[in-house]
Amino acid sequence: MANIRSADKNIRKANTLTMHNQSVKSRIRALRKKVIDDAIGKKDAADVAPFISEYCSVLDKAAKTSVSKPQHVYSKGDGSWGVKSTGASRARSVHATQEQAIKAAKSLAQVYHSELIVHGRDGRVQERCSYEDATRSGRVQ
Amino acid sequence: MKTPHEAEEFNKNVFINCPFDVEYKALLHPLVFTILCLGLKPRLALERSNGGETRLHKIVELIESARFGIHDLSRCVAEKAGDLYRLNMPLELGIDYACRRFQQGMEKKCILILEAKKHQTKAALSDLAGCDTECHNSHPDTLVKVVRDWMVQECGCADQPAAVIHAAFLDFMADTDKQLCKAGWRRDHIDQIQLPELMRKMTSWIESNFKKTNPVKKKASKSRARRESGA
Repeated sequence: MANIRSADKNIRKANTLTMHNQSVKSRIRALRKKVIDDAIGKKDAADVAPFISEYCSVLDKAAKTSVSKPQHVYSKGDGSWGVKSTGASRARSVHATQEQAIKAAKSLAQVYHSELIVHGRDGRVQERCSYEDATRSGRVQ
Repeated sequence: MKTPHEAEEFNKNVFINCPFDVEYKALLHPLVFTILCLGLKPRLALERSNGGETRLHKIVELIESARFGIHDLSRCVAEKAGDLYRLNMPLELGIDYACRRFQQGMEKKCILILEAKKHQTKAALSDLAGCDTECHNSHPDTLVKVVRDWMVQECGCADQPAAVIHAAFLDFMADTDKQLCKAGWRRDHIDQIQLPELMRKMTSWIESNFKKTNPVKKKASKSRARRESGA
């Protein structure tokens, strides 16, 4: 609960940003479904091209504006494992084992086409895996 | 007598007394990163390698140049039967204590003694019974918190939360790993990167990423402080 005006404003700003991020993520999911299910099913290059172009554009913009950030799996002081995105200081979710944390982070990275980074107990990167879509960054002609 | 520049350097330097083996790297890297994030300068025996310089002379010089000393005694144990007890860390703690006690102008020196578990070292170093120690449970997350809290309390440096510093450390490790992989480094070589090189990377990363997103709050000006106090 906000006790002062600036705290109240910060809450309003956070809500606006969250709504914006949710709309971007929802658009990504909708376009992905369209590209994979509808457009590719028709197997017509002319039909597929505009959807892919729009999908790539939305994904690139999301990555640029840090809506889709890499997901980190890391060890917490109490022995549990956390999942956080780049730039965040708090865990998005906390799990009892590293395997459970990797599973949760992997599904997030797959949905938002970002990267999965697994840190060891010492913070060093043990494994990294990119789920960025192959259609992005102009790799598809 | 120190010049103003030397006095400023002295107040910023933090001498780190810890083992430099592979197992301890897990704690050493976050420890160095925390000190850099707080705007201070870590000083270690590893920072330069000169065959013509005696190790003990170098350590004494580092101790004299630093106001703060962090001494980790958590690894002063023989791990298996027949191993010798490691005594480097207690020796350097003794030198730091003697410097504070007997050298003129060193009264401001502050010492932090770390151990893995509470009262771990008192069995072997009973003379430390009256000294305050902190324990880090051999985990980077706890170590960052303990060191950050002590530094903020003793020197009033930038009060970034421990969670933000630890999260920034993870982001730094991921960014550095990506950058080095792109530059063609092998994974095993990345894991063995030398500390001075890593410290340079940490400094530039903190300058370009951490300080921008977590700016240090400026202290209130004298006039503002006077106004707020209702004078």
